[in-house]
Amino acid sequence: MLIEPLSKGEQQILSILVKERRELPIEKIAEITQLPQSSVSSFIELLKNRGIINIIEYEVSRAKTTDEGKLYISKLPEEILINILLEKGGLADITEIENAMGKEIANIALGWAKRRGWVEVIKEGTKTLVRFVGYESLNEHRSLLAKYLNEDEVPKDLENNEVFKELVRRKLITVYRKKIKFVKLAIPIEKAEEILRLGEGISRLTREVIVKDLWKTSIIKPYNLSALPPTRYGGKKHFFKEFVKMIKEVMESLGFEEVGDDYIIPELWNFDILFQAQDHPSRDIHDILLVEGSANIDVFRDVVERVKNVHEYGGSSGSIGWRYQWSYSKASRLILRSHTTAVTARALIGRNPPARLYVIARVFRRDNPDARHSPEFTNFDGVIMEKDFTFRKLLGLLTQILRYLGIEKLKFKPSYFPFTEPSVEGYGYVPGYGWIEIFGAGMFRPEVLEILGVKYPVGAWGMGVERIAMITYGINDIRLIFANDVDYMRKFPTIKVLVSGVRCP
Amino acid sequence: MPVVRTSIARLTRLVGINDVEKIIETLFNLKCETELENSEGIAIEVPSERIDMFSIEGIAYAIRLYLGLEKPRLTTPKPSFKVLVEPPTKRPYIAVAAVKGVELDENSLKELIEFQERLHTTYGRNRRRIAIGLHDLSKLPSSNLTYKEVDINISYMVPLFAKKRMTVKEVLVSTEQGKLYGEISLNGDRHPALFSGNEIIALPPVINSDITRLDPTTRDIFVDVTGTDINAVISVLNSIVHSLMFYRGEVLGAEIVYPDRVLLAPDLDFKTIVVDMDFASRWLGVPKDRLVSEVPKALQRMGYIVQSINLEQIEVKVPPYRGDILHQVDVVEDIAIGIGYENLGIEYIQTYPEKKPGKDSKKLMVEVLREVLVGLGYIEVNTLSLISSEILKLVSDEPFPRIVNALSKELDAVRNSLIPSLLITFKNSQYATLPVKIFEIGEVVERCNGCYNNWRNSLRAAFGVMDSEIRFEEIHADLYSVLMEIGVSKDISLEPYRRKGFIDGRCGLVKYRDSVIGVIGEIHPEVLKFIGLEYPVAIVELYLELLTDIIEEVYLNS
Repeated sequence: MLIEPLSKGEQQILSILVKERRELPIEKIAEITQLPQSSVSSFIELLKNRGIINIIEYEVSRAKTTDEGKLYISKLPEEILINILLEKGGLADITEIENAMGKEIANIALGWAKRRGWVEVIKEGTKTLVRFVGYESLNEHRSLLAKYLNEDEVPKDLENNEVFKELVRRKLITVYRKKIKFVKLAIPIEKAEEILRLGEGISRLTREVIVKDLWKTSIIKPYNLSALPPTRYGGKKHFFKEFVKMIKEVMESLGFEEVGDDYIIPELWNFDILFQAQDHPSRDIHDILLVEGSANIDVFRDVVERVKNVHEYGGSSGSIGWRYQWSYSKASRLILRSHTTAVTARALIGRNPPARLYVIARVFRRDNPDARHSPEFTNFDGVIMEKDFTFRKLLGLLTQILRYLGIEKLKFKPSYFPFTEPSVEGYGYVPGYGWIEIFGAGMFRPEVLEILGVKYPVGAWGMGVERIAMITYGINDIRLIFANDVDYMRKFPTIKVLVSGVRCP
Repeated sequence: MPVVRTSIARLTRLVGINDVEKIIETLFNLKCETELENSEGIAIEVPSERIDMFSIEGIAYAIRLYLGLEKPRLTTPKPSFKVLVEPPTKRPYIAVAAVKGVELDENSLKELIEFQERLHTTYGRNRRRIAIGLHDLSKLPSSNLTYKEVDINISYMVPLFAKKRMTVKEVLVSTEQGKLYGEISLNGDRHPALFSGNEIIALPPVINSDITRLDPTTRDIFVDVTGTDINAVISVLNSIVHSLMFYRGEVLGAEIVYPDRVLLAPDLDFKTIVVDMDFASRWLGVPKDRLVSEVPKALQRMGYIVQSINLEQIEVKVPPYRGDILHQVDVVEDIAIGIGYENLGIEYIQTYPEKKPGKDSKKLMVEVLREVLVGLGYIEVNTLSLISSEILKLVSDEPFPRIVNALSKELDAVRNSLIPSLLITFKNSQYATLPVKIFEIGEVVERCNGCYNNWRNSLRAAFGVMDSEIRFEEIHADLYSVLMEIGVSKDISLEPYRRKGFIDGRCGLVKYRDSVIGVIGEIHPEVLKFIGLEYPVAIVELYLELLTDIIEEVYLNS
């Protein structure tokens, strides 16, 4: 048995049992401790659960002198009869006795006196006479009546006592049976004494306990470990931001440098430098978000000049161009950027190879939010320019990046983007999802290179980050990534944040 | 991207093979995504620049070429029509042609109309740039045509599906198409019209005449294309003729007589383009000798006719329906597709292990802030920059960018501070166990008067606490903890500040020496109640660009 320190109340009760060295009824213990019986009962229950005591139930007899019995406490009726008889000289008429005692009691008294052989009844003519024969004092009867004036226990031997039985029969004492709980030590007395020596025990470990060595003399109380603790939420990083950070680490390890730009830019950067014709449907105001005002694109005169020439007739890029009249004011219109190729392409302007640039940042579309669309989401875009960069190298680079992202199986589909040629879409195989479209990529068209003022081939790619994160984390509603509800984040386990997604080899 | 729908039965019949798997795989290589619909249909998403593939026939032809079931063929139209053009002001260009022997039935007629609509809405920019009229050739009153502007009050026609003749004005006002497209080319009281003999057979871009209406028994189709861009008009006519030619019927051409020139339509000539071998090889990363051996077959299956090829150049004829070829690079892509991307082979790039990126103080600070705030028990949130202007105005008088064409009032502005985003998050988290402690690091947009684009992005960090009651010293202590961890707590002071949305006397500017690097305070109950928040909130916002400069100066430059 584990020795555990007891609470103050438990100790008090245990010490009584040790001192008395016998089993005690609960009432008795309550009396000694002067505690309410309910407290005593709960302490006893605790002690019992610890295996220190047993509770035994006994059935006992209790007795109490009846109201009639109380009347006879100094003399029983037959004794009174003898007194009267002796006063009359040993012989008296029954009517005289009845007059002295009352007829009813006289009858009882006469009955018992006759039975004990104390008197004789003689008939003389019409008279009935009572004559004294002998007498023995009924001390025992009287003392029993006195004993049970207050209810008390009936010892076993007394139950068979003839006098007691007679008093019960005569209804001078009533007897009833009652169940009583007795408390008894369940452990040897030495053990109990040892527990008592431990004292109350230590619930809170304090500096005092440590410094004063209290833990050496008292036991440190164990806790109830099966109880549930209150819920607590720690701080944590957002899983999507971690996902973005992992991609950034991959890109930096491949020698790419992060670039950035403002959310609000002229269409020039978003479309025109990418050789997207000004009446192209993707430039429709139904798809992009417009901001009041125009940019002063005069400050980029060289770029603007090249854009105009290339759009209108191909400039000197070898292209026939779009063969229309290019509008300066349309290119100046301010919008919220709709993709981040606008950022990487602009950052390439005037650079010399080698250049490896990437961006992971927010873009905006004129979409109503639903499970699959968000008016704002994250693009991951990259460009690479080298003197001898080729389409095959672009496919190689994308394979490398996807490997880092944990996608081993991929296939390339020819595709169309206005600013790349050849264009390609990458599909990755994700167990449980099948083939998923992951990125769009291609070689910047010569028209774009001319506009950017770069002289070497450039590979470019872009992808939506939320979609890949949703697959990685098994989320089926893009709005949950932007959830402004702390409960969702609280319940998103950190293990899931860190175990999924990008793994560097 | 446009989607073309048909039955698998029709597609396999037109392609001439029954292997659906193979057809789908070929479509994948031809930039198309496919989806089987119920058991009999197929939806094909075609690339927007390949208008020749906007029809089932065009798709089937491209597949047949790619699989080698077809070879590019030259066709010469038989001159049959003459169109006199008096160029309408708002829609000056026209081209016409006819194709005989087209297989039509109820279904394919429906598909033909869908093809027409696909061209109208995408490439045709909803009929503004180009519009198409399809007619039953046998019903054409005359092969002499005129394209000119007419007075809408005194010219008559029977519009499609109408029972009676009416003035052009009535057509524009009363028909459904008139209401939708009547304004596009209207020039005062005048509107473009195409006459066959003396009958108006089309009112471009609005509606055709009923007298030349197509029906399932039509076999010979006359096409007119009008528009604002002559190149687009010719491209579209070519692609329609290309589709209808699938049934190998005769093509009838026209002489289009403009005041200043005469044009022949359709233009079914293959134009020659010369691809520089050096360019193709460098662009793709494929050696020239491999190109010499593989290009002829590759380009042929993409519909080209290779005239000559050597280590210097490829002389190639481009099919007339390929209006999307602007540059030799477009032919180079078709070489890659013809070879097959999966057959090109990939090449890994070199990494630069010797080039370690330098310490970026902004990134460094963001990571330190995230670590520290998480350690202090804050949960990171990731919210949209788009927000309601109403909420922005509650806590700041600073300007913010307003969206001109916003879809909803909830998202009609770009945030100029992270504080409103946190407030919305608190509002939505009121039912959660308190306290709620959150932070966000992200970009906001500030007015920039010296900038060419009027606005600039600014990186900020904000953290806040919501609880049943708030003790200011807690967030105050957290602020100092954060500043201590980024190593700038020494020269920090708080200066009392009156800011919109905050409680007076419980708001301060956070200053590093003389520079303001942030704001701290408790949100005013009026603001809380307005957004429906029932618990007190204390917030700190830090301006990271200033802090980055300070860190740069204090740590990295010393």
